[in-house]
Amino acid sequence: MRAQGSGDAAPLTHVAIEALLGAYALDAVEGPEAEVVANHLPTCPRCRSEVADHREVAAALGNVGTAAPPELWDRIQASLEEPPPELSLTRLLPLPRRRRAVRMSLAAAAALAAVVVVFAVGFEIHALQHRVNGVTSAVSDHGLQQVVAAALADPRAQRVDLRSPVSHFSAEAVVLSDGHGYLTDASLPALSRSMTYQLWAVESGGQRVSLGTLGPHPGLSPFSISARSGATTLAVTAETAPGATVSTRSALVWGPLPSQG
Amino acid sequence: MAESYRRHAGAVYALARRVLGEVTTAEEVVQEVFLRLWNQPEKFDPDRGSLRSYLLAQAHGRAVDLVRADASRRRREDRQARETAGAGYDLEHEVWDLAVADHIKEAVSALPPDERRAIELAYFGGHTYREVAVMLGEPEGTVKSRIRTGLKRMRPTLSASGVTLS
Repeated sequence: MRAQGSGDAAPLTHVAIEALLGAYALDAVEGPEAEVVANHLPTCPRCRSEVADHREVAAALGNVGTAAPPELWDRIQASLEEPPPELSLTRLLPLPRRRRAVRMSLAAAAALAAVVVVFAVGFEIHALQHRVNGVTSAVSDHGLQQVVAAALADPRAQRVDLRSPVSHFSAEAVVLSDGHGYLTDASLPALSRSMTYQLWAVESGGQRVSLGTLGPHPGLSPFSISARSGATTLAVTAETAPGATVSTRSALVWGPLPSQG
Repeated sequence: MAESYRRHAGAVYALARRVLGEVTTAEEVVQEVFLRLWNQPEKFDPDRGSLRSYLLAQAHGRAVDLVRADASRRRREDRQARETAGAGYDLEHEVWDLAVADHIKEAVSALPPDERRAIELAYFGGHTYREVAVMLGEPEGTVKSRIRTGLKRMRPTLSASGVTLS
């Protein structure tokens, strides 16, 4: 069987076209061959489907998701004059088999985020590997909200902004003078259930001590530190569930702990 | 449109920058891709894949076109020559640095090295399969086959691990 070509493009057998589909999906086919494949696809659902599949895989590979320059949207918006026809976004709905979604922009943040942030402080960490401190069991969710509200209203409490210079991810924490702290807000992408966010205290030498896991969808989370250690920074990583004792992963967001006294 | 930009512009920009090796032209590619989406939304067919993969494919194609233009190619080759001088071709490590998502790592690392290298050179290097064949010293048919087989091999791994592109 010979597939239809056009113009100056020499015809290729269907088998020869199939052999090109992977390279074609990666834009690695040029000239008459590319023309033959392009002309063939509208007539062949099977090959069309295969190219679409290859492009989905390629998109995952290329999906490195660093932040685009903020001013770029302004330039694009300025170029938009008339409203476009309706855009069909039906495929944006999560597919059932993919519902354990991992936003891949996480990958870029993990790849690019540096961890070494040094600020002078003194807090001793009660390392609570893989578990949150006793406050969790002592209060209900509602109670926790009240505790956090009180912490936020405490004039002696200090806020910690955890951010990333390469992504829009962020988190906020509040630390009380008695060493109790709460992660109060987190703008982090949902993880699959096989992974969890984890909060760390980072000492000035770079050593990390776990302050507990946060789950795949971080919400209000208590932790506990006290003033005598060399911890200078709070950081959040993504770890394989149920969490890591020692983390070597890049921090997604981090922020300086307030100096004592 | 703004929501599409918010969700996908970072990935589109990163891919364009990765292939082009510079930021200015990468920004132009992002602008072009989103303006095309705005002006010609009918070009996106949701039955053929997610919006994200469509935008990334558009950006990749445009970036590769630019890379293959003579002037851009010379600049890029000069830059690559400087970057890899004395150290050999180190694209593999660069790709690893970028593709750190665990699931993607898992899928890529499961590939035989020859398939992985062919895909990386074609996709991230912006090379044609014929060029990849020359670079790897392999027959063109072998490279075509490795790219196709490797892409097929990764798909179930990525799907099973819950990676979503939308």
